[in-house]
Amino acid sequence: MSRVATLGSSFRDPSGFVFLRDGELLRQVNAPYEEHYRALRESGLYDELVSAGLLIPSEEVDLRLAADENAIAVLRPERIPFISYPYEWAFSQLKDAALATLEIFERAWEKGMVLKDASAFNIQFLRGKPVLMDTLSFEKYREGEPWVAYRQFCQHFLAPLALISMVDARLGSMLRSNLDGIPLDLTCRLLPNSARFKAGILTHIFMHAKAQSGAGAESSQGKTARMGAFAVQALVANLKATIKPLQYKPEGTVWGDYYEHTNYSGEAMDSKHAMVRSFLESVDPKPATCWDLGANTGEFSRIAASMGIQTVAWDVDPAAVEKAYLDVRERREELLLPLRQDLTNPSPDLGWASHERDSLTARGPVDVLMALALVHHLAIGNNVPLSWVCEFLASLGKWAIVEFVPKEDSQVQRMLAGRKDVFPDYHECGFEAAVREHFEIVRQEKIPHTVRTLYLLKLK
Amino acid sequence: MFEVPMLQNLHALGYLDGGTGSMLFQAAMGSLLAVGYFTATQWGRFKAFFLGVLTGRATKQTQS
Repeated sequence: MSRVATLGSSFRDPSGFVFLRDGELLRQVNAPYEEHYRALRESGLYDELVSAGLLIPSEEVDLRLAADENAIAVLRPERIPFISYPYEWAFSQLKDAALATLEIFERAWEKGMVLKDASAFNIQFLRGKPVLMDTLSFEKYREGEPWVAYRQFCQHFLAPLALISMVDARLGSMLRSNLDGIPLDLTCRLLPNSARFKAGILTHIFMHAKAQSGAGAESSQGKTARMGAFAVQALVANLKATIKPLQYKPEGTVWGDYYEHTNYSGEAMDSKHAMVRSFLESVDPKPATCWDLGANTGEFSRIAASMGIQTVAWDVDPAAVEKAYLDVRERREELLLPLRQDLTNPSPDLGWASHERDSLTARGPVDVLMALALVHHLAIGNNVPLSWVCEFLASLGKWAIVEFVPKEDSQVQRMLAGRKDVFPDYHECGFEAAVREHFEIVRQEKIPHTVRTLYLLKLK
Repeated sequence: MFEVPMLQNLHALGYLDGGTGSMLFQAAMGSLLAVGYFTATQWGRFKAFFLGVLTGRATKQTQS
């Protein structure tokens, strides 16, 4: 008997849901959605969006694979290599996802359909580009109806983009505590007064929030909104025009310009590149997935990606991740996904019953992990015991390439300059002892022209 | 992966709550935006039409 399990993130929409059958990811289309599903297919919208790379391709499979008797179709969507969440994206990733959502809406509109939801969680990054993964997000347009997902779009996309652009990039992480987007009244309180001078922000955030507020909402109970088709089109065009000029210009962050302030000489950097490549080649069997922790702008992640390994470049700094993503976009890199992650407070399981959004750990382990010049930030910068650092690394990867930076290194000396050295065990021997609790040391080499050591570790 | 009974209402397609305030606001604002949008998208046609009318009149006047 085959085993069927629904996904914790797929329960809200009665049109259908995603489930696993014997480990295979499938999407069930339910009977009430049939009319809309057929319209999606027969109007040519599905083919158009898939060929434009805006919608995840899905193959219709045998109806007998359905999870229950409500199905009218079963789809097998292309598997997305790594599921990321909006609170892990850089500014430009969120902006590109917003613009992709609006483009999908406009293309659907041309075929007499609309997007019935506009959740940022419906967008994933596939081959370096944002793609809608919910095939059931479309419904036939009904004359006179406003866009039901307008509020959701403003909360999921416009509010965080405006906050990052006009206040601080760190506010992007508010999406982690507000899974249905940042409430507009809160956004109004956080935005500077000057934001009111931008017509789109004034309209879609400030005035929109006012319309949602208590008095307005009470007086409008029972009223039904009617809206002409041209007005819906105008609204979406205006949202697009509001989002396009929003920009994030990082300044003076530590990591965004890391490689300009590193203590590596050109020769040492070249050697490290060659060693990382060689270590990756030593991983057996050849890895398919890689996480580069503390990747900065993804310089070393690109080595893994260039070897055909699906790579996620994690970093805590929004500026570094932004730069990494802009480079990915410019170079059309398909195997590299830069994402934000604070390893001292990693993404937890979130949402209903803590099962809607997976934690960082739940999305692992990967075949190979890279932690280059990271351990001292965790051990000295955050006082995490070395044994805990190694235990954490062991939970994320089957193999690990780890760079150990000793106290003699100028970067560590700088970290210790302003504080008491309470790390008697922080040395190579202490590190190796901690590593051996979980890993076997396969290779261990000094990085030429530095005091640092690179380790290739295999999980025990 | 989470094995739960599905929370399904098979009679409700519009599962998303658009929010009364938001729906009324966009209906009102959409009409205003439509004026600007119409002008922006149709301005070229307007211009061509009026220029045509003016040019036509001018030609007629010249002819007369």
